[in-house]
Amino acid sequence: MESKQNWADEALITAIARKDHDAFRVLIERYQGKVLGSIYRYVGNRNIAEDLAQDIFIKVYKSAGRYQPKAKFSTWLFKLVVNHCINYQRHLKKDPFGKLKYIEEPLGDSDYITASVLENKDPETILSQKERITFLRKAINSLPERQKMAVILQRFEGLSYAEIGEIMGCSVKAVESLLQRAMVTLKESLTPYV
Amino acid sequence: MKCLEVQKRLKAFLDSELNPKDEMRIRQHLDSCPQCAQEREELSKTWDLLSELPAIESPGDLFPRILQKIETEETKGFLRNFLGRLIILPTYALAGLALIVGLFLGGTMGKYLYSNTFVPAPEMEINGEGEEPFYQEIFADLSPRSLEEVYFQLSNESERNGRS
Repeated sequence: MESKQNWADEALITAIARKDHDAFRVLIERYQGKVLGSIYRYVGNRNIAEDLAQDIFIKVYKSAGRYQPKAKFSTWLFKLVVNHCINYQRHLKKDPFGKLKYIEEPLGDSDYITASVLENKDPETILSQKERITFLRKAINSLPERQKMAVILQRFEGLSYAEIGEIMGCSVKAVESLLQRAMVTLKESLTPYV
Repeated sequence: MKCLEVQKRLKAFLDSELNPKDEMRIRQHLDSCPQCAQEREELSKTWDLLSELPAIESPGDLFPRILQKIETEETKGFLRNFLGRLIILPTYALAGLALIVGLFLGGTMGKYLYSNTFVPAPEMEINGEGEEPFYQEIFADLSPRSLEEVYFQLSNESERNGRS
């Protein structure tokens, strides 16, 4: 049986529309890092990030039959990520008790974080770095929703302004403005470390 | 280019997202403006700082968890539809049955009421002849002291009075 690992995204999604679970598994493995990474940087909580990532892949599964290959699959996928995250954030703001769920995880030894950030460093350096990361997180979280998402997509997913514009449903000029304003705000917030 | 204009586009400049003409103009300005050059440096350092934000390792069991959620939702959906049909079908059947029973009962009651409460008017007895339907022979003599005879007399009188 031919391995589906080499299949293009569009071929996989066509198979998923026929309820091909093997194709679905390959697609998840291909994109789970990006999806989970983006969501985690956006919400700052591992459990919530995993829940939201699951929701997104379930949406992919259910709407695979409606996918039109007009744009890249990754663009379509990130549109789902952006909309889901921003909707989640707005829902959280409306629900005062929901704020209890939105707890940023403090960095700890057992945290679900790539070890490379902290490996081979002395305790003082690690502590200092943890403080910086906490500070960084707070600074990013203080950004308005769309600015925050634009920063995550550009800085961590390496997307171009045009791609971000397509995902977020705005012009390249609007993306440029979002990122410029976000960077000025972050620069002011992170002055001690810049 | 003015400083304000340059500073608004520094991020795009750093990301190489400007067209060649704008990029060259901003580069020329930065070469001659220490303030804007400083601003560019600070933005660049801020951007580099963001790389310290940690990533997250993907859990190994994301796919089976997602599949299980889908299967649970599909089972719930199936049960919901099935139970829904179980409730709806008898409801329609009952409604139809109630209609039929209602029509039958209504018809039966109507017949009963008609046959038991409607009493046809008794045949009028004319001159002792009870069974025959009443009719007046036009030229038959009026019965003496009958209502018809009295009325006939009165109308003849008023006619005579009118002529005279």
